[in-house]
Amino acid sequence: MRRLLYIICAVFIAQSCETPIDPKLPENGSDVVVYSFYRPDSRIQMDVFNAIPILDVNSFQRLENLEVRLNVNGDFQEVLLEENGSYISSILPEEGDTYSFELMSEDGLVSASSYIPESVEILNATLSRELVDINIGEYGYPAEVTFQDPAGVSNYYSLEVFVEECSVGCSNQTIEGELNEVLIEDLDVDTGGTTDVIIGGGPEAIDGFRYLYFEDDSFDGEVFTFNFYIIPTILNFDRSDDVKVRFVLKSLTKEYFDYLVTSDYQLTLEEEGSLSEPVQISTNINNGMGVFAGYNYNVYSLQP
Amino acid sequence: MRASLLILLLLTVGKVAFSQSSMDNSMLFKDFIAYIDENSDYRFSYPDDIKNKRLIINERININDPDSFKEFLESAGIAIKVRKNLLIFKKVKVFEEPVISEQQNEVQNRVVSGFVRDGNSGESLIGAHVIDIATGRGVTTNLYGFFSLTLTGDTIEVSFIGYEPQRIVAKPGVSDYEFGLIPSTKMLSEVVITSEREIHEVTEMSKVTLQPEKIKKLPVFMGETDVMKTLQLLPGVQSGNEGSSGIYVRGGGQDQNLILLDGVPVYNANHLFGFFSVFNADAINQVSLIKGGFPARYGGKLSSVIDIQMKEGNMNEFEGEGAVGLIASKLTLSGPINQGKTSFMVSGRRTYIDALTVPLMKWSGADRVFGYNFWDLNAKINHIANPKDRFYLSFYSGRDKFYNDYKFNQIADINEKEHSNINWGNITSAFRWNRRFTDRLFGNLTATYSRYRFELETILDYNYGESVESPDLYRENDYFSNIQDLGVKMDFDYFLNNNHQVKFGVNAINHQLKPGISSFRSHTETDTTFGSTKVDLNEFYAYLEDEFKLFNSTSLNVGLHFSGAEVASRNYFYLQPRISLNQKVAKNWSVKASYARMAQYIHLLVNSGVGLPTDLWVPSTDLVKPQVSDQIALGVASTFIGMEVSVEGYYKWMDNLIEYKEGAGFLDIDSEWEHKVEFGKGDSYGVELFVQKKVGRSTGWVGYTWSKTTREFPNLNFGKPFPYRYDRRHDISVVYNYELNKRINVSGVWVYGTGNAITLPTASIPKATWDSSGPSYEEFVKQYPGRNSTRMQDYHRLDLSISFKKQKRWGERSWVFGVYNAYSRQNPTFIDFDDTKPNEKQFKKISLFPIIPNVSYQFKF
Repeated sequence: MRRLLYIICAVFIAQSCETPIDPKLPENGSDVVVYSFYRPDSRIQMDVFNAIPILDVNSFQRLENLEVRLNVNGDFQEVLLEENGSYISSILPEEGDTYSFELMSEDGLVSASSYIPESVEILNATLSRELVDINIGEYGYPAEVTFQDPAGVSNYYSLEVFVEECSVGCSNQTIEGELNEVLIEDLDVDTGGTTDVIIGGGPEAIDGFRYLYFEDDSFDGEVFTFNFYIIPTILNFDRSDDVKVRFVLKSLTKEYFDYLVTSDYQLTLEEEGSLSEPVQISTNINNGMGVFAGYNYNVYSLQP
Repeated sequence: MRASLLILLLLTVGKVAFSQSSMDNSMLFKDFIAYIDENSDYRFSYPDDIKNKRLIINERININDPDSFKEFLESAGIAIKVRKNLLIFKKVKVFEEPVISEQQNEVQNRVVSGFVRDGNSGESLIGAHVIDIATGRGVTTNLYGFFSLTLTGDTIEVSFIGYEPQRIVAKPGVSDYEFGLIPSTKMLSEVVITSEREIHEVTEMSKVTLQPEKIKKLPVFMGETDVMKTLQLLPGVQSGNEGSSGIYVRGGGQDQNLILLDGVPVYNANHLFGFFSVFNADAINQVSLIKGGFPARYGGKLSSVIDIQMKEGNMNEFEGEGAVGLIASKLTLSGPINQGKTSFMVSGRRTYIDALTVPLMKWSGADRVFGYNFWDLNAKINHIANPKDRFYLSFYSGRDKFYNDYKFNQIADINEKEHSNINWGNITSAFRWNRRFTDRLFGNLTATYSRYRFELETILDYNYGESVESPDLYRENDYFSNIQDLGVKMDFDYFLNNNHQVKFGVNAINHQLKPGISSFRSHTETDTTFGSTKVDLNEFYAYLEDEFKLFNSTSLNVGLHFSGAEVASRNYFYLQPRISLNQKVAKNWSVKASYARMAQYIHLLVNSGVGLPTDLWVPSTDLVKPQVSDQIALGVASTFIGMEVSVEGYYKWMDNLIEYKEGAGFLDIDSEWEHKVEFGKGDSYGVELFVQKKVGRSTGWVGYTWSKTTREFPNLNFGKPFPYRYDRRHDISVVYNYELNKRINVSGVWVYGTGNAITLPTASIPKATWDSSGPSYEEFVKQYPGRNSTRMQDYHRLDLSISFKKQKRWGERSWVFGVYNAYSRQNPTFIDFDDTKPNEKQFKKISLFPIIPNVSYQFKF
């Protein structure tokens, strides 16, 4: 369908023209961009940047020398320590607690709040050592992860796969190893009309994803098995089969999930040259951009 | 002259015997005065508002005896006083109905009924005015040309714009009349007496009716006359993107237009992505657009009713017309099957873009060959079984087809083939049975079928030999989405008297929707079918409306529309009151007001807002509630110096609108479309000015709209209201047509509109890729601070055309030359942000259509 549109447009564009213009853009508001995704047992790290005006050719700069105040459940906890351009907490966040921050920028007070949701346990995970041919012409190791979705609430998930080479011994750490890209092959009707196998970012996406994310709209409260493929990059049984594979099921807050969906989808639409409405990046930062969000996780290890 | 002749006859010959012929015994008061003034020494005094009173002069009168005027003046509600040689005429205040003479009394409250048709072709004339001369009151013909008139006098006048009015004296005992009006040959004369009810007399507001003959005279895009593009020129109607035939009425979406072709809903009115509409003007009899104040007989969509009536076919003689244009040709034939009883009409159109491009591409040796065409076919048969029963069978089918073939085998061990085929189109058909049950009751039974279907077939087949390190690949996908309606409705018109026209009826429709189903095969997968399941939605409505005169100067159309829908286990019901008021405030001036509530049970999920065939029709469900709107409108209407003027203000609020979620469709393992949509509301308000000149050598209109339209969705645009994509503060259309002489016609259209609202980025920000091993910021995303928060440049364009008509032995031919965008304004179609070169980022305006000339050859026989 897209090709058809291009062709039709091309016919007309043959005699049409492109003219550089300088549209009157609306005010952007604050230029402060904050990113922080925190989990239990790991210090909170916040990265703060300035946004770049759209026609500006400068690169991003981290904002330094800011006083970033951290609150826990509404009470002031500490001022974050600036370290290598990031702002780091001394405390380790805990499940169920609500965290918020405040910082004063040139554009005024910037703040946000989030919490750490409960983790969801992986009940079972399997991984096949047999490489299979996927519809797009790519190969992958079929894998699946099963978990019990908590009922009655909206849950948001992300799944990552870490692979650790164990020929010289394996770590007992919960998350260790290198992130291996994965693919999901989902036969779906694309509402955009470009029907084909929907594989991650579409038929052209053959590089895989660092993580897969999804919500529980269609399986709320059920035991759910998620099927996907692990691309033979780091995990490659032809080269070495002495590996430990860790499946990390993250429980995300809505703000984290929305950020992932919107930021990835914006890039996808741009790559496709879609005529759809551009995607606005979701944010929970007051007077700023980015996202400040907690998550939890559960790890299931396999040594196939 | 005619008036003088009549008076002369009356004054000298005395009582005149009338027959059912064009001879009459009535005249306007002003003509009467003019004659007396010319032939006597009397001076006069009279109020201005009786000038157009019609006098019925049955008795001999003596010009020198003003007392002899009394009787017929009183019948018209005029009193006379004589003071020496001064005649003082006054309006009788208590007068409501004329005094009925003894002779007239014999036929008092007699009901006559019948049909008004084109005298040459037998086509029904819709909205023709049938009046009882004695009272000056009348009725209009319905969609089938039927009328029922309560006659207090004995004279009926029938008129319709573009036709010679006809007047007859009703014979005693005869109640069934068939009027055949003859098209006026005086269109080029200075003044043509009009005829249909004038705008200030009509109760309905926010309604415009167009005749295809007028539409055809206007400049066209690429030589193709387009009904929908003409509707875009009316106030309150916004066009979509440049060149598109999509219409957006009073802030509504494209899916909120109830487009009826012979009473059958049409779900996709676009060919070629909206550059042309599916309606072939040669097959159309009349087009009406209602933007507000909807009568109770309409329902199912929120924002407009576009009621298109196909031609019925010539009952008397064989005729045809056609055109050969730059991109398409068309031919329409009609004639009697059984003269005076049965007629047919068939009309076809096809483009030939692919006939030129495909051979050219093949000849050039291109690996990829693609082609596109569309066609449509209209057909209708109508049969008069007896004076009470008439049957119609109408059919429409249209199809767009795009095909694309790729083949590469120039290198050894590589054999790549791709094929895609995209088809979309509508089929509609209707069977109608008209029956005149009594002189007052007319009924119409309609059975309808409508289907819109989109199909896409793609095959990819790559075979590689041993020298190529790549696996063979095969994928085949068939996708289709469709909406199919089966419906039956019964409508009744009950003409209680000239003051009450009651309409009532019921309708039931079964909608069958398949919002996206695919079957897939590949080198690893056997046949798999997936996608949304079929959904049945049963919709019904019942309505009752009465158009009546509350007082002499106040008319009302009051109605109730009750509709409901059943989908799966869920039922929805909506009671929708409708009211329109016309209060005459001065001569030729009236104030109008209306309120209408509308409900819509099926929705269009759009990807881009430009009217793609891939847009999905989806039903209301448990989760997705029906769209509802309320609209109030207030306006004034007038007719003076031969022009219709109306000014209307409206406010419309809509609820349960749907849009795709941000990010819907991407890596979404839940394929249910219901979970990919957001729900919100919308508001629109504005003022519309419409000045139209319908008759004479110069015709045309000026339309101006000031409006503001917003949408508000809790989960879009951070929950803040945002301008609708086609929100335009100012919108102007100037349409002018001038008949230089019988052979040459020139016309021009100028449009101006505030630039479209568009979403543009204002900043770049780093994209966080934050997996469990840590953060990275390798990519950038764009910050869009507000949806549709920027405006494109204003849009304006001038189109011109000139046609040269010539009579030939076989009929008539015309050469039509036109130019689209005469001063080649570079109007923005969209704005692109180009950041391919990091040091040369820029916004670019893309303009699609510079000046485009066109020529077509038209013929009629």
